[in-house]
Amino acid sequence: MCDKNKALKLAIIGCGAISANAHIPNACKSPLFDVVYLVDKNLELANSQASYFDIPNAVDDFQEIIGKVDAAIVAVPHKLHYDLTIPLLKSGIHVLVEKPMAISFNECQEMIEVAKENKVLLEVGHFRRIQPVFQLAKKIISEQWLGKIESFTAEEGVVFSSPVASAAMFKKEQSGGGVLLDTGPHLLENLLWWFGDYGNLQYWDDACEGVEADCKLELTFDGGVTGSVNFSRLRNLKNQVNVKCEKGSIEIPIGWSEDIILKYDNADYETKVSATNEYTGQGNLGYLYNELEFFASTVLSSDAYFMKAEEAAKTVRLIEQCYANRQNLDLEW
Amino acid sequence: MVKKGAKVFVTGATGFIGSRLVKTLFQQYDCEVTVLVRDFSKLSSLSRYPVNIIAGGLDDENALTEGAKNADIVFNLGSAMDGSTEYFKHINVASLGRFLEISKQNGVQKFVHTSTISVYGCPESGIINENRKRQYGNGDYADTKLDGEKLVVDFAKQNDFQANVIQPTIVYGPFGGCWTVARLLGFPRSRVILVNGGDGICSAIYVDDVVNGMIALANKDTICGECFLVSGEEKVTWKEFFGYYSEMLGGTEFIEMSKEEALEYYQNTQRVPSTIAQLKDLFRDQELRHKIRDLPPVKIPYQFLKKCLPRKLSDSVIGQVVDHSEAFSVTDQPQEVEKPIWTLIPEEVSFYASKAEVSVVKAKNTLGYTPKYNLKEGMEKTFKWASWARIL
Repeated sequence: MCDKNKALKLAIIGCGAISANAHIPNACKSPLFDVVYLVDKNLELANSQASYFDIPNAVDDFQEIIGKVDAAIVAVPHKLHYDLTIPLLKSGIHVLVEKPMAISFNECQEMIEVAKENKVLLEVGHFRRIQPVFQLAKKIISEQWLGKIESFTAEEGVVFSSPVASAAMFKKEQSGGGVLLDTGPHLLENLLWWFGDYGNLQYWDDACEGVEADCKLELTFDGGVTGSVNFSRLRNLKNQVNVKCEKGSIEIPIGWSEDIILKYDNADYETKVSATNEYTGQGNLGYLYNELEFFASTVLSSDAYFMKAEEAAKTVRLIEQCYANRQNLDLEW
Repeated sequence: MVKKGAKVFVTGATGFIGSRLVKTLFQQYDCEVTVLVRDFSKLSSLSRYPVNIIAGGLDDENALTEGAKNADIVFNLGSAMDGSTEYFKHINVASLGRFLEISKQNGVQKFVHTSTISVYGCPESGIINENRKRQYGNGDYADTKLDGEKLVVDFAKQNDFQANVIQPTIVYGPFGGCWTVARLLGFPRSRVILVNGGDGICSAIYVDDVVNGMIALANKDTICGECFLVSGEEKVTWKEFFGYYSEMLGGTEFIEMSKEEALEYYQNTQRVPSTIAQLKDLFRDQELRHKIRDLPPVKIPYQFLKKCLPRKLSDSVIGQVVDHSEAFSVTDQPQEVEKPIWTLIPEEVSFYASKAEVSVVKAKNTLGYTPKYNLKEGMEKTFKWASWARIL
């Protein structure tokens, strides 16, 4: 049940899995939001979610919310991020758009410009930026706890079985891409944050005119750090970043632990460093709640950015270049 | 004809054989493929190709009509795999009947229905070919598949409709559920029974050979209402088949049992365990043991004994007071826990003991079917995939 006396009047656009499982319950729980609209092209879905969470309005056209809300969460198929975000920003509505910010760098740049022109906030759902374990990783890497950074390997993947409300994410015309565009933005954004901008890249994936389920990148960052990244929807990978440094290596877990392991060359011991906050232990749901709080705080006080949209746009540029330089990952299966 | 531009409608496309079929239809034949999908979360593999997706189940007549009206060929691999007897009948028989009618009404030229070797029951020996008498009594899945294939055969003959049935045997390969992934994940956690030393016949077939058999059947004109068994051609034993997985895993604990011993073992597992045995099972859970140890009535004497007596003596006393077996220990010493035996139900015992051999003569003579992969080659591909998939 939503408390109707909250600060920001919010619309949530897109009632798929991420909204149903995180954004809607989180926004309803937060004292900073009054969720007044749910929007989905599938009006039946919007109505059922609105009824379940006791939200007063459910509509199938996002234009209906214009002039009636302060802010919106855009959680629709990737290809529609730009199409929906631009008119919302132009109408003076603050937007938190799910990652990836859009499917092309040009779209991202236009979104940023429109947000500036209309003096509204545009944030992107890169919630790992506020996760303590990734912030700690940034500190360890920046401060070179184990000496100069040399290289890294990173992989993120599970056999995909999450409930999805529609097939949109598997249709190229709606999703714009596969695992690179869907799973990739979080980790790639982390790598750009930790290592700086990239120079060269090579990219392989297994798509055969559809969307990729498995892919591989090789990257060289401007500071000389090189590494490889794997993403998959077909296999359970380590879900870890391993950073090779001058004096040892750093193991950064992705999603399954808050502990970073520091391994020293020529030593028979290792160090575990942990990073937690009040949301730790609640899984992604807690950090997504934290993300909403940041979004609301930024709208209300404009000094609580967790990440600027310009940085999210860099991730989209990297992904766009991957697709432009695609090579075939020839898997027998 | 399965050829460039052919319009193909596939049910069960997100499954093991179905997804491999779709891959082949795209990559080797450049077909236009439409799939019926009930659970979108299983689309990862299929969505690598530009498939048309129709949302729905096998009992959704609108969805079946939408798929059939644009299809030259139907591959029906969808099936109920679990649920009530009524549900099995609803999906595998009643809905199949409607699907045949809908396909015929909408101009489908070929209908390839996937059945199973299980319709023949579990003969102890001899040759299994398509003339062999089918048997009921092998569970809801097999029994309704048998009803289903009868329905296909009758419908085809009565309506002069080119609907035919393929009967795969033990299908293994990349992404294979029962005969690949389940074994690779289960063997390291279990002791595996080899019935009669594993000398029963395993009619194994690599998944690509099933797909090739299905395509050969779809490409055959002028036959209707026929069944075709497809299998590998080698004579393979279960010991050899499971041996490949053991080798991939760096060893498996096999236990050789006669058929009678395996059945007796099963019967023993079905007896209501004694209270002590139930307690032992309960106390295999280390977390639970520690919770109980921390209850005040146990914790106080436990701590007293631990503190006051020499270590060896305290362990011994605690063991006598609280511990009646190694699995009942409250000590912190790591215990070597024996892996559980992978229990076989009686139907499985008979299945693994069977020395019946499958004949693919009909498929060879009528369809020109020839399996491409022997067990060694198929398992080499499976190993390569399993390594990539991080299952090993």
